[in-house]
Amino acid sequence: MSYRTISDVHAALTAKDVSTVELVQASLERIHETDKDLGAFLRVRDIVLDEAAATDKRIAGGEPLRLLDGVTLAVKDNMAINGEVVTAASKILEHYKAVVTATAVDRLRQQGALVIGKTNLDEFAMGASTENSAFQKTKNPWNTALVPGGSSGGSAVAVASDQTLVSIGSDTGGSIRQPASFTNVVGFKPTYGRISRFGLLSLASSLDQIGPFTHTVDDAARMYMVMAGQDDNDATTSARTVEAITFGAKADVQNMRIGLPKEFFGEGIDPAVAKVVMDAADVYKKLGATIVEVSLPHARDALAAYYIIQPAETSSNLARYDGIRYGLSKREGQGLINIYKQSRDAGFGQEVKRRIMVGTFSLSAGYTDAFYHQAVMVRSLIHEEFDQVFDQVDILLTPTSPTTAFPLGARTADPLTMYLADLLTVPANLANIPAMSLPGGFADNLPVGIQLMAKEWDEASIFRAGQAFQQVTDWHTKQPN
Amino acid sequence: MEITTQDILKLADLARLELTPDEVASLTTQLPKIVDYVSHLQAIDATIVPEVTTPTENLRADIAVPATNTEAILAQAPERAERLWRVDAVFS
Repeated sequence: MSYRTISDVHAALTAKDVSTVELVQASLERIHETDKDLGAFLRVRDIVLDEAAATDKRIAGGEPLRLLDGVTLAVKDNMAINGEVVTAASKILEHYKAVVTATAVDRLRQQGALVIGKTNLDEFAMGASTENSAFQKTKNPWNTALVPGGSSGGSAVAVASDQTLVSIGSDTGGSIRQPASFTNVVGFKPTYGRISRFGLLSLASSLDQIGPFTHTVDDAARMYMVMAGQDDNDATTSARTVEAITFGAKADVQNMRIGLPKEFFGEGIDPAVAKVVMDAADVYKKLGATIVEVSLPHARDALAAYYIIQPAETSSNLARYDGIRYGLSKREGQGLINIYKQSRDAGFGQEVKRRIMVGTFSLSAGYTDAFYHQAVMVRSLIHEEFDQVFDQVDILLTPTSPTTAFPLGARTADPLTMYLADLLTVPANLANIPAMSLPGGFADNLPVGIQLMAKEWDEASIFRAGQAFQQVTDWHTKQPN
Repeated sequence: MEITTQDILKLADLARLELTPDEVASLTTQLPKIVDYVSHLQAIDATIVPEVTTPTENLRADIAVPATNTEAILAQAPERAERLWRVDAVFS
């Protein structure tokens, strides 16, 4: 019993081929069988069986199916559920119980989604391999000697290995799209401000966005529509209407203009990865789209701007973890400042400390103009270049990651090589635009994600192009052994 | 760019991190590499575009409402005294 899409699950529920409790039991059994090797989950919620029984009762009582009834959901452990532990994979929050529920999680549950458990991540979402978790390393189901990508590695693996039907993650510089690329699933980051960040433990507040992992573009659209829209608890959410995403029988890319930005190819990009993207461009050409080469002259500078802005915001956001109000607290020394310093030293891992130090540097007296403010201006320049390119084309097609999944331990010694994994994903975060990674093919038997980007608020074009691709290819149906 | 052990200790103090000698040593080698990598941005003339700021189009009215989860919040305190957090004296 394995269902790959929400509509498969709904057809089975309607035909009474399966109950919600059975769907949840199958998910729990699958986790029990596979997670010793994969390490995707930090915690499983036993109470979910009661929640499933409540759904079955609703259905038996004649209630119509809600949008996500029967849908098993894994949640990255940096999103809060009221009264339940949420750790951000950090020792500083190891026993912390949330006092709110994240709006995105709440909206999914209101539509019937069943939260099976909380998934592993790089500590506070800082990393590209899920190796920075304080608790465990997550492995790639395509080859357990390889990383699953990160920081939402646990949520990507949960879907890729059929532990849950869908999952959610957060994407600050590629943390949904890059693990989606490494594990052959769809990962989507909406426009900044589209989905509420309330209840998401902040990494970099001007960049963070929540989004779904699914097998199909259609399911990503369904989850996106449930989560999206204004929230009084997040002042950066937009009041814009969330356009309904519908495809009809066939998603149409006739006359769509698709740009290949030359800065996303060439140096540092594995030629086998680039070939998968060029093959995808040919698929689109056959479907009637126009392929154009375009340029984003400062796209390659996005990574440096990101690695100033993100640590700066992080050093400020993580100041709240001080050992006073919640979380790990060390009180061996004398005086308030020693509580702060010792608690933070004992509670934070190496990468978190490194970024807090980089952020403190770029915000310190004498360096703010040269580093932080200049990075904000380069971000503005990149934003402007994307605006101009979207006058010429409807969407951009690029690789998601410069490479396929790399071996565990291969990049942990040198932080800069790990940062390079974000090269092609950070531009979308800096420009606030929506972007998706979807299965595009394979290189040396490992999945390769192709990335689609569109202008701010134009999620619809990405979904249309993604759906059109999946209607004529079967890469998204390939599963690890 | 040269970053000395003294600079690292000063930054750690600003960041309220008590680093071990090993951590100080590794950050003294790593931080200059990261700073050098990001320094090339300084050569870019980005003054030609307006600064993009994070939009906040959704401000609520500033009205106080009673908190309903005070006990759940205080229950997380490492040390508390009834409805207060207990800390060491700020001035000794």
